[in-house]
Amino acid sequence: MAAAELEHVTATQARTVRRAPVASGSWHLRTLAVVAAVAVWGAGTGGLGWRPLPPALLPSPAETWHSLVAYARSGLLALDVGRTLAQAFLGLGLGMVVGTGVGVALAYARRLGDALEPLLAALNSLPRVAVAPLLIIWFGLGITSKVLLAFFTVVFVVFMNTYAGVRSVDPDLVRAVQAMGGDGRHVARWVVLPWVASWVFAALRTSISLALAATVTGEFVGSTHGLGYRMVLATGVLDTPRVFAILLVLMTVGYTVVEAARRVEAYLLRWRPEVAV
Amino acid sequence: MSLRVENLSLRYATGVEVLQDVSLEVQPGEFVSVVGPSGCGKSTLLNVVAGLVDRRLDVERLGRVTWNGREIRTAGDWAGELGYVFQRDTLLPWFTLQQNVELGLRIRGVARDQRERRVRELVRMVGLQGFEGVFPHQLSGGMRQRAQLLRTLAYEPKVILMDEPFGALDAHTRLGLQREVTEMWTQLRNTVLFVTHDLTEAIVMAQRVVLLSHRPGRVVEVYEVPFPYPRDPIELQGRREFALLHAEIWQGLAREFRAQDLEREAERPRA
Ligand SMILES: Nc1ncnc2c1ncn2[C@@H]1O[C@H](COP(=O)(O)OP(=O)(O)OP(=O)(O)O)[C@@H](O)[C@H]1O
Ligand SMILES: [Mg+2]
Repeated sequence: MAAAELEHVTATQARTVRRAPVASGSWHLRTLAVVAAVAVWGAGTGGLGWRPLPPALLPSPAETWHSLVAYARSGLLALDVGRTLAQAFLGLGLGMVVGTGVGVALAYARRLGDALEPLLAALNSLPRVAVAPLLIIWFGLGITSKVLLAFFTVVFVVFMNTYAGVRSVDPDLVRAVQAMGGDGRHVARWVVLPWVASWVFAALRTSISLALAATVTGEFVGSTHGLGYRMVLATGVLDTPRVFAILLVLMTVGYTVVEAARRVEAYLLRWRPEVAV
Repeated sequence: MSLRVENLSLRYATGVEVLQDVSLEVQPGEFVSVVGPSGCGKSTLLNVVAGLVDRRLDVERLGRVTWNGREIRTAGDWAGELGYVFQRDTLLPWFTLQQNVELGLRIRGVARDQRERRVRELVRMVGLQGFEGVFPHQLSGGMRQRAQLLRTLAYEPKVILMDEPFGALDAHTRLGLQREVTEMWTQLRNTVLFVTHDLTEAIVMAQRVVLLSHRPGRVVEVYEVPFPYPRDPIELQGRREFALLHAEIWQGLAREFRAQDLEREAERPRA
């Protein structure tokens, strides 16, 4: 119902709003920046016949690539990516649902919200990866401990944003809907929901990388599968090219997911004026 | 059977005393303007009438507001019979012009095709055709003000409160809208309470003009405007009776400005 309403809000807008085109050339510049970064890396790792650090400390782009290809051929890469992503997304999804739910509920139940806010804010400032060992002890080496760690990392961020979002709704907009005869449900659908959506998306953007980081950390501490687990194995035998390959995979996965979320956000929140700061 | 404000006094939690024993009766179908110095409590008066002043914001409220004998405490008490054109821009930024103007009709369960037809005719009336699919931030200030007016007129409420609805408009558009609103009113005979700082506008549109004092606002005087409708604002302003009435109200207003200045002078801390 809520999502459908938001979709209605935005779908009708699509017809009329045209975006300014992305500045031409920015695409080329971006590609160039990536190429340049790899070139510098290659030049410093033997590309120009000069290699100050051994491969075990700093592998070259080619060595990293070969290690990555071998990893993929073994079939383990797909398995590990699947495992890590599944854990991160389960935790993220749970965290988003519970965080927004509790955030909205406590913002509406003002007194309870006032009472619980400091406690939840304190939990939010706890470095949550610190509970990873505890979760492994409680829930074992399997999926559950990582999902819970990701959930635990994300849920407070989402809660704090949602809560602050609901509380910062413009009272004049609420009054405008009330004045034309709208009741609490109209206010919730037409004022609170679209406004809070922008806060939830802001939380989502940081939560994606938080959930990934939490999952990988959980795999470091204790697991049998996943990118973090494979990284611990590679480090143990000083297989630095493999470590680099895994870092590249993590970076690519993280960037792709964040970028996808950014695009969905830009589409759904099309009503916002663009600001150039 | 009327809109009654009885002995209304209000003091905000900040300590500011805004209204003092304001009493006012607006007959069904009557058009009444309210004028007074800036900050005297005109918007506050409309907010109380609308039932929109949060009980947590004021520390002292005496008196009451009734519509057809029913006491108004919250906006819900109006049972959908109220329309309010706010002084501040309160279009919902995530809805297009079309969607904003439709809101009141959606609350009243009007079918989509009927809503679209209604919005099309309203939008044409104020010269906003072609902008139906545009977001508020892509409209000019004057266009947003017209959109706000439409949002209220769309569902033809029995009672309409307007708080400087033409404040940000150029003289030409303003004149056009004054005509449209009075014409609409002569057909529908809604009960209108119209706040403006433009005395000419107050007289041209209304059957009575209420003059409020400087803060805390009291009713100083109520002036009858004897001209029959339909009125032509331009023609009216050329009349002798208009000039006399305008001068009379203006003198009352000027007294309030002077009193306000004197008070501010007295309050100013001395070096
Ligand atoms: N929510 C509020 N809380 C505290 N004080 C308020 C609040 N709203 C208005 N006031 C005060 O009440 C007084 C009257 O405000 P109001 O907006 O009713 O004036 P007004 O007559 O509409 O003025 P203007 O012509 O400039 O719009 C002002 O001194 C203002 O500071
Ligand atoms: Mg005002």
